[in-house]
Amino acid sequence: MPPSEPSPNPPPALTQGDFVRLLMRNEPALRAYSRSLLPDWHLVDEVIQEASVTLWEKFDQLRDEAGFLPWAKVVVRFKCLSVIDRLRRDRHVFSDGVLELLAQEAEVFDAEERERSMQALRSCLEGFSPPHQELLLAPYSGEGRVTMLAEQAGKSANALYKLLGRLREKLAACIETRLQKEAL
Amino acid sequence: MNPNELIQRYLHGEATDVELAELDRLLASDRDLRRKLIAETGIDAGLCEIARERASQPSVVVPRRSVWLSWRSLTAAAAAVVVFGLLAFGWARRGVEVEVVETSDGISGDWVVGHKARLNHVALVRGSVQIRLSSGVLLDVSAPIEMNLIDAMHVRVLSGRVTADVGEHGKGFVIETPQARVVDLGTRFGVDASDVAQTSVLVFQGQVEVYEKGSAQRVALLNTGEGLRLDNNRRVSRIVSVSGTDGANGWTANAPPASSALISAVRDSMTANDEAAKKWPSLRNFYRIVPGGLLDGALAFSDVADEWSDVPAGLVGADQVRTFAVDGFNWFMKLTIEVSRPVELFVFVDQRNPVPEWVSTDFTDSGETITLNFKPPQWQGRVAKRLPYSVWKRIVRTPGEVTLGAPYPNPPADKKSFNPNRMFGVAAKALP
Repeated sequence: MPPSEPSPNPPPALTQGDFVRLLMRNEPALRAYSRSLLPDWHLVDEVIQEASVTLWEKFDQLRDEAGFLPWAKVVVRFKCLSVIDRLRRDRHVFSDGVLELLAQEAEVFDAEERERSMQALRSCLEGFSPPHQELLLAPYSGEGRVTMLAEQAGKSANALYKLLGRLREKLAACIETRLQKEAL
Repeated sequence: MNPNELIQRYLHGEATDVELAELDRLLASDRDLRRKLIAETGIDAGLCEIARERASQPSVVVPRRSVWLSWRSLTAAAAAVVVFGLLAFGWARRGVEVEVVETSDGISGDWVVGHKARLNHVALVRGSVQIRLSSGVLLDVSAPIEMNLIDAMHVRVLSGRVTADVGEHGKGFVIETPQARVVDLGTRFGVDASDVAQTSVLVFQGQVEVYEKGSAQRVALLNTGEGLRLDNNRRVSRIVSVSGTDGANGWTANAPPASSALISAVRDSMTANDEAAKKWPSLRNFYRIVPGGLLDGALAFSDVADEWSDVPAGLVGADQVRTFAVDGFNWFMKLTIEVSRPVELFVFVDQRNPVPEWVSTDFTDSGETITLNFKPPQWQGRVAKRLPYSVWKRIVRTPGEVTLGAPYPNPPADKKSFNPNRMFGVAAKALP
C-alpha cells in the first residue's frame, strides 16, 4: 500500500469565549491605535464600542487568534474614519491624507511591542519624583486636575502645563532609550 | 510653536484650528513627526491606563496610634486564642514589619489597632484582622489561617483565606499556596487555600498572574471579575460564583452562602457540564452573590465599575447577583439562579434593547426603573451615561432553580440599535 499523504488538520474553530478573551486582551492596543487617529478619549470609547459589535458580527471570518489584532485594527480604522467624517462638519480635524499615513504607520505596532512599551513606560514613570508622577497623570485623573495642582502649588496653570510638556519629553526620551537598549 | 508643543496641545485637546492646520501640514511631510505623534498617543494611552489603575486603588485610613508591641504582650499573645506565631529569638530583627489596621470583634486584645510588630508567621483560630506590611500591602486575614511572611512582598499561605489590597508600591507582591504562586500587577485579590487539595484565586480589581507552584509556566492572567481554581493535579477550573459582602474578607468561593441568603447558587450554561466547560476553556468570569447588596452606588457587575442608582424603594437591601458585563455579547446563554426560599425575583433589562422573550413571558413589568451608571475605564471613574433599566419581577414560591435566558434576543435583526455593552441585573427579596 502506498504511503498516504498526511492530511493537514484544520485549526479548531474559534469560540465565543475566544472572542471575548481576544477582545479583552487586545482592547488596550486597539484603544491606543484609535487614539492615534481620534482627537479625544470620549470618541475612542465610542469607536471601540461600535467596533466591538462589528467584530462580533464578523467573528466567523477570523481563522486564527494571531489574526485578531490586525483584523480588528482594520475594523477600528474604518470606524475612526467614519467618526472623523462626522466631526469634520463642525470642527477642524486632520486631513484624509495625514489620517491615512498615521493609520498605516500605527498599524505595524503589534500587541507584544505595545506590551514592551508599556513596561518601559511603567519603569520610566517610577523614576520621576511623586509630585512629577502626579502631574504626568493629572490630565487623565479628571477634568481640572492640572489646574487644581497649580492652585495647590501656587503656580499658574500655564506654568504647570509647560512643566508637564517638559516632563512628557523626558518620559518619552526615557522610554525610547529603554526600548533601544532592549533591542540591542 | 515647536512641533512637540503642537503635539502636546493636540493630545490635551487644546490645539486651536490654526494650530491643528499647522500640525497637519507638518505631519504630511515629516515621517519622524508622525512616528512621534504615534509614540505620544501610545504614552497617552499608557498613562491613561496607569491613572485608571491608581484611581482604582482604594484609599486607606492610617491609624494615628502607632505602638510597638511589648515583649510581655507578645508572650501573652502566644498564649491567647489568637496566636502571633513569632519566633522567640531575634523577633525584633527578623520577620516582616506589620501594623495592625483593623480587627474584628472577638479577637485577642493583643491585636490592637495601631500596634506594630515584626512577624514571620501568623496563625489565627478566631476572628479576622487587617494588617499592613511595610511594602504598603494590606492583608485581610480570617481564621482559620496559617501563613508565613517571607518578606514585605512575599507571603506563603499554608492554609486559609487572604484578601490582598496592593498599593502603589506593592506591585509584584506574591502570595504562594501549596498549589499556586499568584503575582500581583496592581490590584485587590483573594486567595483561598482552605482546602488542602486546591487553591482558589479571585480578582476583585486589577490584574494578577497565576503560576503553578514551583514553575515558571503561567497558568493565567486574571483580570477584574475573573478567578480560577488550581488543584494538586494541576487541573484548572472556573469559579462560577462567589458569595459574600464587599467587606474585607467577606467572600467565599468554596462554601455555600450564609443560610440567610436568598440566592444560594448561580451558574451558567457555559460550564453547566464537562462538555460545555470544554467549549469555554478561557472563560474565567465569576458571578457574585451579595446578600443585602442592592443599594444606591452598589457595583452592578463583577468585572467593571458600573453602579446602580435610583434603586426603587421596595428593592433597597435586596439580595443581588452581580453578573459580568462581558456576557452582554452572549445571546446563547442560560443563567440558572438557585433560590433557597420563596422570593420575589427581579431582573433589570436595558431599555435600549428589545425585551428578551423569556423576560416578557416569565416576568411582569413592575413599571419601575433603576439606573445603570455606565463608567467605561477611560472616564476615570466618572459616569459616561445614565442608562435606564426596566425592573421586571416574578414570584417564585417554591425554592429551587429558576432559569433565565440571554440578555438579548437571538442575533438582533436591528443591529444599529443594538447595544451589547452590558448585561442584565438580578435581585431577590424574600416573600413576606
